[in-house]
Amino acid sequence: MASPSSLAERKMRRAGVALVTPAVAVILLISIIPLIVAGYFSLTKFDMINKPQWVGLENYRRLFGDEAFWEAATNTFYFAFGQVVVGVVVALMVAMLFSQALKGGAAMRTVVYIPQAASYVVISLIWTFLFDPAIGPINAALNGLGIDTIYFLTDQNWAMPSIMVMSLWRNLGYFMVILLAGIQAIPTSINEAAHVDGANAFQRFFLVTIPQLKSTLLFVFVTWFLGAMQMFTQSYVMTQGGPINATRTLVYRMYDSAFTELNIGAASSIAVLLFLAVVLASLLLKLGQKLFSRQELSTP
Amino acid sequence: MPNAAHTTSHLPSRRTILRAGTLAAGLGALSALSACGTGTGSATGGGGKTLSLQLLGADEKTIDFLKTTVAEQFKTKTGFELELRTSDWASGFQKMVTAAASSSLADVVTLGGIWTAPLASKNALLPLDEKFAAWDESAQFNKNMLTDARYEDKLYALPFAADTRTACYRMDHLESVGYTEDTLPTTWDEYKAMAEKLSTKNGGPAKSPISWFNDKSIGIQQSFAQLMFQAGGSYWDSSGKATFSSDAGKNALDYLVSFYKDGLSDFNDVFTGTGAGAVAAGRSSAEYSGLLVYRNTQDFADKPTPKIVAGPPLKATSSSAPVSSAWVNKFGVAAGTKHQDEAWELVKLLTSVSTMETLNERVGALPTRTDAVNSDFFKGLPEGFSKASEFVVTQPSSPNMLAIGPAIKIVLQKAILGQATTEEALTEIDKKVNEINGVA
Amino acid sequence: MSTVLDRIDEKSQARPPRMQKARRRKPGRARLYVIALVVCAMYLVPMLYVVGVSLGGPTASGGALFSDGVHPENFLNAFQSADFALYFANSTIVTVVSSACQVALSCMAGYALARINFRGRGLVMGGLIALLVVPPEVIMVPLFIILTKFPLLGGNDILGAGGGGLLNTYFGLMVPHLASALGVFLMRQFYIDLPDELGQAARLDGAGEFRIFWQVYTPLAFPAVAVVAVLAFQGAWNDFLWPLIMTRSNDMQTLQLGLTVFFQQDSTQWNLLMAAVLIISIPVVVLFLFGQRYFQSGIVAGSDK
Repeated sequence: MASPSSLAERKMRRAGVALVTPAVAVILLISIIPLIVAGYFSLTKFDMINKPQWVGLENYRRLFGDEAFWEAATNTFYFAFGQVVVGVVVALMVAMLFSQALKGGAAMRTVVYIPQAASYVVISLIWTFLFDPAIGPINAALNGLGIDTIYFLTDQNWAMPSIMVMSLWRNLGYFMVILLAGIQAIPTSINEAAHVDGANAFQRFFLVTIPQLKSTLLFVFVTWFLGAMQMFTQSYVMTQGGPINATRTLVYRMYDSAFTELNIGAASSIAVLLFLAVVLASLLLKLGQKLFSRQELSTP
Repeated sequence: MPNAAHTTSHLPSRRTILRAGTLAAGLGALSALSACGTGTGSATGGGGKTLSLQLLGADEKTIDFLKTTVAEQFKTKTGFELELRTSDWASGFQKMVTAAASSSLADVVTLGGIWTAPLASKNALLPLDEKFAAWDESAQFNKNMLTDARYEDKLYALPFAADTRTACYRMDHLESVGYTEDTLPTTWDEYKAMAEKLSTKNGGPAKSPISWFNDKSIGIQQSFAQLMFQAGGSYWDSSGKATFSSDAGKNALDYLVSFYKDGLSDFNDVFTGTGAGAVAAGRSSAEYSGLLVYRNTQDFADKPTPKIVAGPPLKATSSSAPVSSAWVNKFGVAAGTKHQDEAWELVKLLTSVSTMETLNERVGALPTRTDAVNSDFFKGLPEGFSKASEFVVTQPSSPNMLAIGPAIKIVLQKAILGQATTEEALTEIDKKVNEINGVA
Repeated sequence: MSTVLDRIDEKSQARPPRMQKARRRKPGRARLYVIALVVCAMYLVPMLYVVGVSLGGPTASGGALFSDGVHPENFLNAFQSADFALYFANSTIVTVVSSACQVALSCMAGYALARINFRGRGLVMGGLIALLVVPPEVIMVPLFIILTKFPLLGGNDILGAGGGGLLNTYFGLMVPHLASALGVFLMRQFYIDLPDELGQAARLDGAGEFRIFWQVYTPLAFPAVAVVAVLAFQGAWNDFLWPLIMTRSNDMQTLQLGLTVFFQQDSTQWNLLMAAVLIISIPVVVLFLFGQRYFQSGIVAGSDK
């Protein structure tokens, strides 16, 4: 251990530990410890003021028997799945469009990309105005076309789809860029070979582009889905969870449980379930990516 | 009007300029700030004698008034400095709870309607009965409004501002179908008959004549509660069991739902807090509301501004008692305060005649004591509001009220949309309320 | 240095268009432009409409935006009608400090994970990848309780009782944004591609490990730093739920919170609200446009994980 090279090695290792420690410490404090604490609180009755009391699985038992929880879970899934299925298709089409050499293509991409920089609060306020039945331009335009006013945010059946469309509008640019990069990474030779073999544009899209994009598509789908599962701000700002409970999501229930009902146990059990759902989804992503990467000619 | 004032000032105020300075200084001292992480912190400890006051929804002028006039009077009386903490109403309760949970409530706190019980039941507030009884001005307070400050027979706060809700009318609409201020409806039947005349389907001026204070929060539940009280109902009986599916509850809900069924009210006309509401925009002619509809009309209706009149509280039938409701804001003392006497002095000062008059003007509210009626602001208000204040019935004092209101609202919406019959809805409300209250 | 930057630029920009194919399919081009314009219109029309409302009178509605004339003073009025100057300062302080911290920690940890083979590296790496998917909302409530009961801070005693802890403090607002697994991960992906020779040469010249990290490799990592900085800035600037629960008084509110309050208070004017919306979005949009070329490559790199 006295040779100069191993001394340098040790110095280097010590530097490595020193460099990595601060980040690990902070991440421990802001992610891992809270996760453990959430697990603990979910097994207690706790109102933030009096000491937590151990109740075992009581919170989960109640949650599973609670209509409002299932309603929130359904809403969350509806929002996430609806937005993402439509969103991935639209994002793919827009990415295909922008993968063509268009004059002003960069500027157009930027236009689609901008809303993604703004916060959900900002986007929600803007669309509350756009959706307004009395003074909003969308209904003004519909009325101009002879279509009856649509109550986007106060009609039980429209409220969630409206928020979905708005969120899709905001997020499209981000995922479009990822897909665009994926498309551009497909070796031109494959496309050309297919062309020579007489495949038309549609065949090339379904037989070349889609298979080559599989793992990027999967990534986009899962990332978008996980983000959408955490929806809160849009409902809080635009509908406060209404009409009836049409836009109350899991995170909204969690917020209500914690801060209006002072039921930290219930809030934590929702958090834990949400976490498990997310872990499950990302494991599926890993699995899928492994499967796909074996089939693909090159990694996108 | 208070709101008009703060939206139309054109010159940067002294505060704004100071803040711009703060911004620059803040940027310069970033590292220092991150190191100590100050903010307002909890200043109850430390040197100097300071008493803190948590204010909700105060605008700049209110804050200036408290910082100068009130703070000076307070200092003369007690030698204490006054420290203000301000927050908004929307998340006010959550902020109060989190502060209570971390024992960092201000010494004196603002309480919204129905907040007394949720906080008092968690031992966050100090009972004030003895001090109040010893105060020679205690007889001046509106008795009905004091009930909203009680929990289990103890008084925890003093009211300083009320939002009395009654049927408010847009007179230009009413006059166009033959009503005057002397012939306003007093019973449910008369109110409904008026609504029919006002409707565009019968040649009247309003698309959906009656608005029920339909907002994203629990406005419609508040209107329903008032109807239920008018019909002689209550939330629960003496044993605590919910009694919404009583005859009174059924009458009230049938009456409310009939307006939506008959096209006299519009479920989709929701007030967001921004821009003109239904009455100001002329879509509706009357609303179960308070000063809000009056102010909103002043701010947003087309000119000339239509006259808004607060009508007499309605009664279910000509033989039943008229009822209005009020959402009462109060000042309470934190249980954990180290300066009980000074905190009480501050509450007294804040609810004194002259302070109350100024605060009412600033926030656009009605007084809660009978002798705070001398301000020009008060004299300029539709007089129906103070008459209606005599018939106020407040919401029951329950620790779970903040969860009960939203739960009821959701079921009411189902009934209004026809997804549940009124019987089904009321049974469901009873079930939910009992569940929340832990009553078998 | 230039070679590395060039490589990133190449990655971030669109690959050379397939001109041959484009020429062959000329008849379809017009149709493509029409579709592209429709897509852009879906974005430009709402944005321009908001600008229109923000410049209009208080009663703007439907088609008639400027029936009361044009009012550029709305922007000044909006800024003054709530404490936006104060909220702006709060947002700036919280965002700048926490982003700077996140960038620094990400560089340090990312470098070590990429270039130094210390013990436990595999464990840290695995942990980070697992944490990439933890939704911030999941940890809000427990983190809130931990920070308000933090011992010896904000008036708390050694058991964490008695005071408000980090509730309503700048530091409390910054905490969730001080470090992120994604930031570390992105930096690592970048450092790992840099050539070994640079470090070896510096070591021969007698440079210490920290100097090699800071003066040799990190200056080359600017594109990745830009990505992490923009992500961190956006996360902190746009955050809503955390400041909602972590502030107790107005003077600690951030812009997003202040804007919501402005919207919910009675009798706000739409034109002023939209002016406020535009004002508070400008910094982050400008930053985005500025960092766009790095950013697009960054999120794509993130997708390879």
